[in-house]
Amino acid sequence: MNKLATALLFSVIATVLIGCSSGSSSAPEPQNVAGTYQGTFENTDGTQRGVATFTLVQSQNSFVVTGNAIFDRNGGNTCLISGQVTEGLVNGFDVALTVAPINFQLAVSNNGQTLSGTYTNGAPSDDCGASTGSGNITINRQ
Amino acid sequence: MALLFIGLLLLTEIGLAKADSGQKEIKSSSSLHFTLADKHGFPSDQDRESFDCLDKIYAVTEIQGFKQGKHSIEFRWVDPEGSTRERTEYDFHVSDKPVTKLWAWLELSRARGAGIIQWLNPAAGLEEFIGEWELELFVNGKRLNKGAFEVSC
Repeated sequence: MNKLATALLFSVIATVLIGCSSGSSSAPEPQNVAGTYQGTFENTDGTQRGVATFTLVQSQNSFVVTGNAIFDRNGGNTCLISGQVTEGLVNGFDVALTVAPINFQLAVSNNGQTLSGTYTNGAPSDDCGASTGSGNITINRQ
Repeated sequence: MALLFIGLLLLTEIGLAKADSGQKEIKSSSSLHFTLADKHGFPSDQDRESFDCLDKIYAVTEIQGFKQGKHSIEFRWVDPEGSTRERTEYDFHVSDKPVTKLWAWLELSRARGAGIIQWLNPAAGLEEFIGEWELELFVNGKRLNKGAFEVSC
């Protein structure tokens, strides 16, 4: 049997096999965001980056999130100030957190394993350097 | 005196009825569009009407006119055959912001083994998903909006 015939036979077998199976779809629902997350942050102009650790608590059937956040820039000052989550609200896949005076707007993705988005410091201090105090953050469930 | 009391009572009733009907007059509305994800997993700002069969398809709604508090939303994904293929349901909260943005997404996966002949037919194992999909949007159990998008390979 030559190569062409082998390829043809292979294709026919594959087509028959695939004809017996069907594709699948998924449309996940948002989950409770409670847990510990760790990842990285970086300001908009790329002059400050470090590790962010969030511990979040969300009661069952509640939209409110509490917890705390720790920002570590290898010992250096950072525009992000560690502290309590003073305001937190989950709406579907949208998570809004405030670690005063910093606001985080995060999207839930990766089956609830990742929170990713932007932050804005409402009152940027000298520690923000020349940056406006805004940047990107991605944290993953531990 | 009794007549005056009855008169006052009637006026109060009418006032309350007007206030009630006034509240009901707040019209709820929604927009609905489809898009892809941005780098963070938020829906991007660019609306789309057609998608590749392996795209993560976002349905995004912005609703307004609902009372502050807890509500429920359902995104009903109807495939080209007209069957409800997926449902994304969750509770959400309306705050004092005028607009509440909510979204859900759909992902399609090729049938097992179909990758083998993908080079011959890009739609292999995804045939049933090719065509026009509908998205029906329900809030608190009532249909609020409906839209359509195209899937092709």
